[in-house]
Amino acid sequence: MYYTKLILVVALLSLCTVTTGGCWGRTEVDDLAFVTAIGLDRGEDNSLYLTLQVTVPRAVAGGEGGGGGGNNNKTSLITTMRGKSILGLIDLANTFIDRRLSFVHGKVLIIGEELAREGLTPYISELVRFHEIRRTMFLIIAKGTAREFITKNKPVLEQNPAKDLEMLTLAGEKTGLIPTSHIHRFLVEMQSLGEESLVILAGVNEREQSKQENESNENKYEDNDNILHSGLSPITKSDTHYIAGSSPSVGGNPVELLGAAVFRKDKMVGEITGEEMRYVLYLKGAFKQGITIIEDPFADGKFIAADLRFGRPVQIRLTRNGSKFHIKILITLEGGLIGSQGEEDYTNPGILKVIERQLSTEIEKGCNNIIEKAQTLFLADIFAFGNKARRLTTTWQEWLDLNWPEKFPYAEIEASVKIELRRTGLLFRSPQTTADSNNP
Amino acid sequence: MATEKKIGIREAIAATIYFLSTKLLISFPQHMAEMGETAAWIVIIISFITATVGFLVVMALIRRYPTMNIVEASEEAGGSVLGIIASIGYFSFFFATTVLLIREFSETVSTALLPRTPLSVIMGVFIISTFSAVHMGLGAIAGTALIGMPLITVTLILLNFLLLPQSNFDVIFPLFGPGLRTLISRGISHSGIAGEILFLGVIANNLDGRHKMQSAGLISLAVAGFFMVMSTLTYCAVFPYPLSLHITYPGYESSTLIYMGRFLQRIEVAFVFLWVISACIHIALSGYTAVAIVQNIFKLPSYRPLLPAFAVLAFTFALAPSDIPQAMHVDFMIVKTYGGLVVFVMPLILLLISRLRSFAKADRR
Repeated sequence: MYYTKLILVVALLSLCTVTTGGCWGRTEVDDLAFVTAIGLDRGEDNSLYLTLQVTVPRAVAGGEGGGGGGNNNKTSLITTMRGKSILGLIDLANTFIDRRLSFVHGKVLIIGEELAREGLTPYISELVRFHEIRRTMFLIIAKGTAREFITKNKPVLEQNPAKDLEMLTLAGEKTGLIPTSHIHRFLVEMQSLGEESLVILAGVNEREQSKQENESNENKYEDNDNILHSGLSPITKSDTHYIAGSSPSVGGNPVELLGAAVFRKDKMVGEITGEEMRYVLYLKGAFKQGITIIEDPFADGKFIAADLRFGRPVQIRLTRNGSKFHIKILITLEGGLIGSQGEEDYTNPGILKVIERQLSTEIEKGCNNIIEKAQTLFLADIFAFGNKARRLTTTWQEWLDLNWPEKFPYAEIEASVKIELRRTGLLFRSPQTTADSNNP
Repeated sequence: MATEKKIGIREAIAATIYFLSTKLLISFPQHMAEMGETAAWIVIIISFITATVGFLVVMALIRRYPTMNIVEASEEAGGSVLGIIASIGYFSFFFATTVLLIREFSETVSTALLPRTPLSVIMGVFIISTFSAVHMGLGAIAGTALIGMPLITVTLILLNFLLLPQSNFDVIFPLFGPGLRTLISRGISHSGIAGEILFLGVIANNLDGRHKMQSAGLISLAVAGFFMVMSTLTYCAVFPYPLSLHITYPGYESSTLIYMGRFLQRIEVAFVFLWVISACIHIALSGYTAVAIVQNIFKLPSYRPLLPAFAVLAFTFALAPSDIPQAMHVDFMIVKTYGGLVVFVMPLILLLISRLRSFAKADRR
């Protein structure tokens, strides 16, 4: 009896070990090819271009790359196919890629601008049903094509393409110059009546690109001074008022993530700059931290840098008067001066007050401008004010009848900003050219 | 009848909480969203309040027969015909729960984790492991539930906490979804979602401290209700209506969304491990309850000889729904909708009959 029981227990345990371990679908890690980026572009005749960036494990581990990083072609395999369905093309890819494609380590989904303007529902829908695709993958809209973004991406500091793509998006998010944009958030916002999507905008810096082409053609380094003298892209009123691919910069990776693509439902309807993105984050209450630059009110042509964050959560009051909606937003920021080109003495409280007022006015103006742009140009509530309007209704039918997307462009919206500068950086007073004579 | 080892009140509470709340890990939140739209969590509150009233009715019936469990008490109160009908109703509820949970959980594992393993193999493993537990007896299952209690508690709290960055509580408005009246009627009609509370009535004679059964039931309902409301609220905040209707496996899908930076992500596997344990405990409990009811109906000395037949039946019936949407529809729209009639309304009818008989007897005297 004892032996029968023992045999039964051993048999049962063995059965569980074999079956629950997933041995039926046994796949060794070195049988898999890990896709880190998926690119989608519009093709001719209602077709689709699918670009896959597949990591080359040996190169990432340091064997081929030689520790230099910077060469996407060595650390990854990039392939483009044309067809009707994403999953069909993935099967096709396995006819020339010698490992089974796996998407479990996918980091970004990049969509070409043209396709984004047509609508993303069919493609996102096809992907999120597939169990290997994670909804936490970053969603990026590429100016130009997704293929161009993937092929031109030359990571300099990172050898691992997956890490490079993730670091690139996370670094941008920290500055508040790009939105937080995961597939899941897009799906939520796309189906919502109370908000519209903002997706990370990516572009290839043409100047940097042409420089690299010159380098390879002439097989020598171009003199950096020539680049500076010939001039970078023209600068704008602010150091962050650019969209991806147009920033006045050279050196490093030619691809950049800056600004956002604006969506109405699943279709891209416009784009906003990095600076405008930050105003949207202020208004949504989603801003974390970032440096704001204003012109010094005491010195023409000089600038002041303030590191700001929320002093308290953004207050949004939404009221309804018949069919008219009024929204009042109070943004309270605090932080410190971290840089100043002027020569003021910041121990004088009056000076700080003036700077606080100047900062408030600038940010308030920026916020009201982007609100106006959203109401008149995009007709899209990218601030999620509609989610606050939900509270005005008690049933879903009432909410549907309210028809927020129609009401948003006519809402009266007023943003005000209050700023407290609590610190002045590592200096109370700025260094003075005439310090000896004026300040003994 | 052979006497089963008695279990303590703590084990009974742990087992009942498992029994009530494990359905959170399958498509339960999605079905609640179908019922309550943005107010899915309110449907659960109403259902649990109704189930509490139903449980008090069950307790009132059992109290009239202090040495009997719900099956014996039903037969005593309603006579052989009505009593047997009631017992068959109880059995059907628990057997259907067992069968459908086996199918739904196996499908979850198949879709999300082991897509290349045949469904029948996954189901077979679930059935063999859980029916082995049932063979070991109520004490073994309830003891495992007690040991595993911290696991599921911590899992649910952690899951809700880690999903906070993905949550937006503005989207739970409009607060009353389809309207308060509809919410109340749907909540009451879906009281079957807490129908597993009848388990305490079935094991009444196996409880060490039968007099504490009512408080054990109320504690279990309160704790399980709290977790289910909180988890469904989080689900509604992460997957706003109508997106909440689209998710096949809400528990799994929610866990894949955890993203707290580069170093804390892709941790769903840890949750799945605990969920499988929870599912096994749930299937073992419902399987045990179903066979215990049959044992009582036929007044058998032991339920164990029934197990192989039940395992084969469970396997066969679990494969009966042609696809996963059909299995889920049967579970939530039929079993959990009309289950309330069987597990709560039937005891109420029997209680009234029993009282009328008492009055009639007293009058005759």
